[in-house]
Amino acid sequence: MTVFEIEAAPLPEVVTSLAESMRRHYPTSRALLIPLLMECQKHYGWISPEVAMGVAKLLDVPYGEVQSCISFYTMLHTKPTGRYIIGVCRTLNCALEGALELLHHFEHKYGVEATEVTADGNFMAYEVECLCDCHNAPSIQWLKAGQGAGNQTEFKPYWVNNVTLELFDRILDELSGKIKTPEGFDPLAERLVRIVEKENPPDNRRWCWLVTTNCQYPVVVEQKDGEFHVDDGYGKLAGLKERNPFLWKEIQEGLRK
Amino acid sequence: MAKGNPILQNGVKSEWITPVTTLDNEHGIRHIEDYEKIARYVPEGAPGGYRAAKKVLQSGMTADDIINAVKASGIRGKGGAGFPTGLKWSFVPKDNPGPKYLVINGDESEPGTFKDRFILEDCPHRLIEGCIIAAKAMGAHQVYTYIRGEFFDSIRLLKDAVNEAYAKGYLGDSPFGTDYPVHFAVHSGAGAYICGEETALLSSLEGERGHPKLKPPYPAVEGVFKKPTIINNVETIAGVPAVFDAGPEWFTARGSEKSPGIKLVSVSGCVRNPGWWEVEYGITIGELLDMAGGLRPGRKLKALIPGGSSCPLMKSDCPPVKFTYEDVQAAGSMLGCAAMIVLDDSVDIVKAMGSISHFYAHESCGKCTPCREGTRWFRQIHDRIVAGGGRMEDLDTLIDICDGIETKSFCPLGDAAAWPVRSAVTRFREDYEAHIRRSMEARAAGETAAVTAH
Ligand SMILES: Cc1cc2nc3c(=O)[nH]c(=O)nc-3n(C[C@H](O)[C@H](O)[C@H](O)COP(=O)(O)O)c2cc1C
Ligand code: SF4
Ligand code: FES
Repeated sequence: MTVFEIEAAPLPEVVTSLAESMRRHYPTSRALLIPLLMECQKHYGWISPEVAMGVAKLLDVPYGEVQSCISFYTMLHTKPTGRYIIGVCRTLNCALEGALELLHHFEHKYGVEATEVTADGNFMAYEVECLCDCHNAPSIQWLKAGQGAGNQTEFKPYWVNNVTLELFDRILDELSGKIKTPEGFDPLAERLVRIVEKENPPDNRRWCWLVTTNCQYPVVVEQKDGEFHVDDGYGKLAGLKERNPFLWKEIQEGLRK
Repeated sequence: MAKGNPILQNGVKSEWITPVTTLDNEHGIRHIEDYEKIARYVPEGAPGGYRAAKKVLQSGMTADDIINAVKASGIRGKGGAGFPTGLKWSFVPKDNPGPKYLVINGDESEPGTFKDRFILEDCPHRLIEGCIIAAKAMGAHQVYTYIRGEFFDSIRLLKDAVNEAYAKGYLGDSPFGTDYPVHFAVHSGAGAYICGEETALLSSLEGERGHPKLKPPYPAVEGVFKKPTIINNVETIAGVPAVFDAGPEWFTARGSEKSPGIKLVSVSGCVRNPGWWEVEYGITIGELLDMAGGLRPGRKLKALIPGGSSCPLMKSDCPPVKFTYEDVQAAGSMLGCAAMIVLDDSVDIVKAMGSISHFYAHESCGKCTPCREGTRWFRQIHDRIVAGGGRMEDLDTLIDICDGIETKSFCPLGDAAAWPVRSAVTRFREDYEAHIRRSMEARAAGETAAVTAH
């Protein structure tokens, strides 16, 4: 296909409205290029030549320059990426915590290499550099493509940190339907990884670390009415029972042991 | 550890600076629902709730007054170079006609750093307030905040906060009822470490590939869209309101003479409780290690990178060193953006350096030859040594490549790639040699085995 045969795709509303809201801040339209390409990436999961042409036309930037930018930035993909893009951080802190083993496991499990889409069209995993979540290493970002990528509801980013190989494997199976999950359970939502009891607690209460796929909470545990109440001092776990009943249950079971 | 929370000592409410600066907090904690609440929270009338910006704009302070106050506080840039912020602002030509721009560098991607993100997510209004003051000081009416593409939540939450500030009349054509318009745009990156370098960031902001630009002209004279531009780190600007709320002397009373005030430090790697803390400069590296729960049981300190992977490695004798720009430099490294990576004796330095050289080989933008080729050779040589193909001459070759990159690259990324390698090869030479000797012996044994088998 030559560049003359590429037909500009009509851009989705999210992209055109972003362009409209940003335009008044910039003296040139070209300045919007990277944010708009990111918005297309979020919506479709990748940027096809037609979409790139659409952006080129909208901003009045030569098509070649648009492609030149796309090839420069690692988050912009020029091939379909599947329902989930899995960015595994492979930089020092995460490498120390076994990030590369996660990636090798993925490649082995699905018989694909990094940046290739799995046969079921569900996943595309690739190496990314430090995600600046090093204190929760290994850190993985899962991106669920938006409406442009089939019958999805919306683009959604998830952080899945602190994971072990078993948990990583389990999440993959849950997402691809190999393991049945209860109604309303989102495999990528925050879940428990482990509980570490604090040695030498500062007082005679029970202190632990709740390590979840989002972060690590230092908490005080109190037992009331047969339930464990956890408090991190900031109320970040308040209302957890209603907000994320699955995580709450995991914490209850974990603390009982 | 009494230095853990200077903000509280001053009697200013802690959630004003960041909600995580109390002593008992050992972790940066994030939870979407809570960000939401905090981002929508404009503490009206409360200390810090845009009080400083209001005072600066309404009291008719001139640009010089503001710059002098910031100079007096001694605030230094928190993005890596530690350049005095007030001095930087004073470089903007005063009589220049046409627009000027303030650009906030939120492209946090130095390995080991995790601090700007929490400002953006937990207290974005502090950044916006700082931007209003900085914009007034340099004569800008437009602020761009460039945030790395991976930080979807930060971008969304900052945008929410900006909308809220517009609705409250803190941003817009007449913030706080004055006639000094300040507009604010949130700009997303798309994944490139080099876009943290200030001139590459400007290229990216203009919609180009993130290639650095030649200096001079410096951005303060000719920056984004060829107009005078000031680029500051998120944390730097988020600290500015405190100069007008607590006074410059609040900063100079803390830290050292050359490194006054406070700093967010992120500690990661082989420690028990990695996390981030706001501390006064002048705390020792050992105290920071203690804050992070110390080393894991039974482990000894092997190496420490004080300021992000671009800084030279320090040896295990570093804990007494004070955490200030001048002391860390005197000890042979750099404070950088205060991202401390701790490596214990379970870590193979050669493998760790292999990981770091992968990072630079991937993130070199490819514009100039020494860095593009040199970072790739770093990676190849480390990969080969790790795979068991090391040769003693590799060490001299590595130093040779460092010589070829340092000061000969177009932008500081080249130097940043070479410094850790040079320090590792010189300060941990015995580790490299032991690694290579082991694989040479293994190869020799393999050859004898192959010969005797015939
Ligand atoms: C390769 C490279 C990467 C950089 N990355 C960042 C970054 O991620 N964030 C940042 O604030 N500054 C970064 N800097 C420093 C900026 O170039 C610039 O010095 C800084 O944003 C200035 O702000 P400050 O004076 O407030 O520190 C980087 C510099 C280089 C050379
Ligand atoms: S030093 Fe590296 S990052 Fe900087 S311009 Fe040269 S190739 Fe690009
Ligand atoms: S090294 Fe993986 S998040 Fe920083």
